Amino acid sequence: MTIEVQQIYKAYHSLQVISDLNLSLGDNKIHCFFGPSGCGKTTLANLIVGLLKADNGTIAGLQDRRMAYVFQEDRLLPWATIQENLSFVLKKSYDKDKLRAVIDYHLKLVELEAFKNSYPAELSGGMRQRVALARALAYEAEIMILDEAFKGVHLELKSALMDYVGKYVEERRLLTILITHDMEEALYLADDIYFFEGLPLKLIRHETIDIPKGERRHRAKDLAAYKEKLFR
Amino acid sequence: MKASIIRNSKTMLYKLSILMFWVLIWQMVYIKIGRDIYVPSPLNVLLRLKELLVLTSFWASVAHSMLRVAAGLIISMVVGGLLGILCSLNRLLHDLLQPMIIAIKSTPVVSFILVAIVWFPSSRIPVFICFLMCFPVIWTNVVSGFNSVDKKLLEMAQVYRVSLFNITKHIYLPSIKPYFFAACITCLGVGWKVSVAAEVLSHPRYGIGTQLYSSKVYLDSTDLFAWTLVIILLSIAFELLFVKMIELNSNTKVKGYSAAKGAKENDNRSTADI
Ligand SMILES: Nc1ncnc2c1ncn2[C@@H]1O[C@H](COP(=O)(O)OP(=O)(O)OP(=O)(O)O)[C@@H](O)[C@H]1O
Ligand SMILES: [Mg+2]
Repeated sequence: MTIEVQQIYKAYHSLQVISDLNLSLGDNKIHCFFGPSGCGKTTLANLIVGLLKADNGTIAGLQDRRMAYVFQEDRLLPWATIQENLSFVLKKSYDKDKLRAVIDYHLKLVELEAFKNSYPAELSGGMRQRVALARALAYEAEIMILDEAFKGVHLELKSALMDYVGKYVEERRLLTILITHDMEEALYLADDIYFFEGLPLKLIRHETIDIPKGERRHRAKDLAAYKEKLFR
Repeated sequence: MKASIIRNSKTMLYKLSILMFWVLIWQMVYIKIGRDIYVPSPLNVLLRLKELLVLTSFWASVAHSMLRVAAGLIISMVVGGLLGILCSLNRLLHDLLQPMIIAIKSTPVVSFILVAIVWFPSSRIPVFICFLMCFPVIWTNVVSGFNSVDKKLLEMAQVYRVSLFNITKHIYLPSIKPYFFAACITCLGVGWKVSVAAEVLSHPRYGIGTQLYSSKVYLDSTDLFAWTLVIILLSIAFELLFVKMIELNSNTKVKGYSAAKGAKENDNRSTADI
């Protein structure tokens, strides 16, 4: 089901962040929000998941769908171990044995299985970010928001994780919003790229990338051409 | 292992010499003044304490006072904790209760003691006074602990549809905990002081305050000092015991997260200093 953002307005006190924004986000796709810092991308994501209420306008197509959100900050419980942090959001969805398996699997995925019993304060910023990503992936969502989810992750693991996320989204057919400042990341993962400007948040350009994701790794040239075109 | 023993005994020695320093000052003041009725000598106080230790009335007084303080503290923790949580959940209840809490905090404790003497049998008065002085501290800290809860964590839990039960258990309670414990530690000291003050004015049959009062009546300063020493030691012992209990408790579960983190003492009341 498509998410329809219709004539949305949002202000923080006197600061108008979003003004008459319209957007249509198709299902089973990775939509990338691209734009300068402070232009209102996170605000838009928070409106979509319902953490913020729009001053005006509607967002249709959410209907109680399960959402996973990798926030711009890690948002881990400081008094709980990494394992407990995952089980905090997951234990409702799985029985005990399955829960343990799911947690182990996803911690392994982000290469943190050795830190299962550590506390967030004992991890680096990038490691905490990976825990937050594991938490989102382990939660069987229908809509996934990744707000700079790969920042602080080293190149090798980042590319592995991006591959994983690409496949994950394709298999589960979920609607994903990827917020990033990294063009390579966008070109590698996105089906659609939305270029924003702000404030107030304005869509200045929308590009669809139609190279199949499986092939992108080997078609660096085409991607480079895309990049050229995008920034002309 | 060995190194740590040496270091431990070194810090012990260090602390002991600081203690000796103050005892020495006391001794010098005593020599300068030269009259036991104003300042008794440290040695005499210690000897008196030794005499007291063998009396059954000593132990009866200590036991009764301890029970009263413990009862007052436990009631404060339970009532203050529960009301603090309820008031954090309900704005109206909070606004209703707050003026009363402020009023209690700013009333001199003697006023309460004198009123309580009219209301209660003498052995209950210290419990009531202890409760009255400690419960507002706990309440205030629990409420500010609640307000300190990280909204971003709550948002995260909301997106992932975590149940209210689990949000309470894993976000609210851990956030309140350090505030609650800090309040408890403050109350352990305050509780002893006000309970004994209440005993002094209400003379229950057994009680440290009652003993203090009779020392005063007989102008027996050595006795007065010895009993005061007992209060100080008991108060310290209560606090140490409590801190040890928290530490044991948090080692298993909240390791790496200091129990006192973020904790505040909201309360600088002067009433406790009577
Ligand atoms: N809670 C808030 N209260 C007031 N103003 C806010 C709040 N959150 C964001 N803003 C303002 O709204 C604007 C957009 O913020 P937002 O976080 O959506 O930007 P962003 O596009 O996500 O930026 P970045 O890429 O740096 O994360 C900023 O100018 C910011 O100052
Ligand atoms: Mg942002």
